[in-house]
Amino acid sequence: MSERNASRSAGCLLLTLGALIASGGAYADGIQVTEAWSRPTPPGIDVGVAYFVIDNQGRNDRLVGVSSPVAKRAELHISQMEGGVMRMKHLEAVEVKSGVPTSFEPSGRHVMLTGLKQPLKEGDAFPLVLSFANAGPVKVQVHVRGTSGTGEGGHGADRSKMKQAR
Amino acid sequence: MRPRKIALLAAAVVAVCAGIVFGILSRSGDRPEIAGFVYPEPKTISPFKLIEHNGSSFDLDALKGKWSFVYFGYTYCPDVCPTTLAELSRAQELLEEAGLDAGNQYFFVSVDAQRDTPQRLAEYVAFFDRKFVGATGADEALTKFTQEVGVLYSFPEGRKGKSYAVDHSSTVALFDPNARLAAVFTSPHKAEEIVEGFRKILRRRT
Repeated sequence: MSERNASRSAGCLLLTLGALIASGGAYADGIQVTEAWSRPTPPGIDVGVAYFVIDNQGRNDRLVGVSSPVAKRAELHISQMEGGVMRMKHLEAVEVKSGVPTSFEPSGRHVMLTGLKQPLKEGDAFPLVLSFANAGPVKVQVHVRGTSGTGEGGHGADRSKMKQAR
Repeated sequence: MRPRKIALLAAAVVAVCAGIVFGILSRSGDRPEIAGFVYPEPKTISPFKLIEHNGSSFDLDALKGKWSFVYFGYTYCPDVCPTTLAELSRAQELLEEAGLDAGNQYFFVSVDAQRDTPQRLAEYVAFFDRKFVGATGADEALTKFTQEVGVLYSFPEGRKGKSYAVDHSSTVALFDPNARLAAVFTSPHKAEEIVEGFRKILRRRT
């Protein structure tokens, strides 16, 4: 019985590890960052975005900074509806509570990349470093999906359609 | 005895409340519920004059003869605008699949004319959808048009440099083929909700 359980657990662990690797997740000190994705940038636009989900199985932490070699600057932002107007605000830090997933998603919290050194193209991936007060830096690969990628279920690219006028 | 009276009274109150709620619901029955707001009577808009990315006039005449989906934003917007335009593009595709797209046009009105030249708009909208048309205009013309549509925008940090942000209503306005404002879809936008809302509005008119 216990042997079977043990092999089951091992199987689960392998599956979890496999899933982590497959989703490009980064793991450090109880902090796991998954589902990191971005949109391709339109011609002539040097601002971009990054979305992801932070899972914290360790102690309460704070995301205090972000950087990427593909952009001159990366900032934590939030799009918020106020009095019928969408406002983009700069966030100094984001609380990452233990056991609660912290989502960065369209029309909400996001990383804004400014001064992109080159356009982001569908299918590309680029590194993003998230700095946590306790866990330190966590590096994650951000996948650039199609324009219609919604980030749901990690299949944005599959559902994407590129209707570019070429 | 007494609890029974209370029960009866409670039942009566519930019945009256249900009646009121039913009355309200059935009265609003002719106004479709969408992810936004449908005007009881389509709203007439004063003449305005903006410019399309191809150089032609974007005015009341441009809105006539077709249903027009009009979204407001700016091209340096990293999050909300690309998200909405991607959803609107998906809505366009869904409508096309349903045979409900031939009589439609789709506009992206930039409230940031200083950075969004017609040429930049042309490249930008084509990136999202071949049917999208970009438009913008002088400050006064933009203010006039957006106010009538109920869209607000401002430049909280001013308009210096290249990377200023713009606060703006993230609404998709729907004009009927008589260039009247029929409905507005409010943020966050989902393609399926836009399509469903449009179907309901079409149904009301037939």
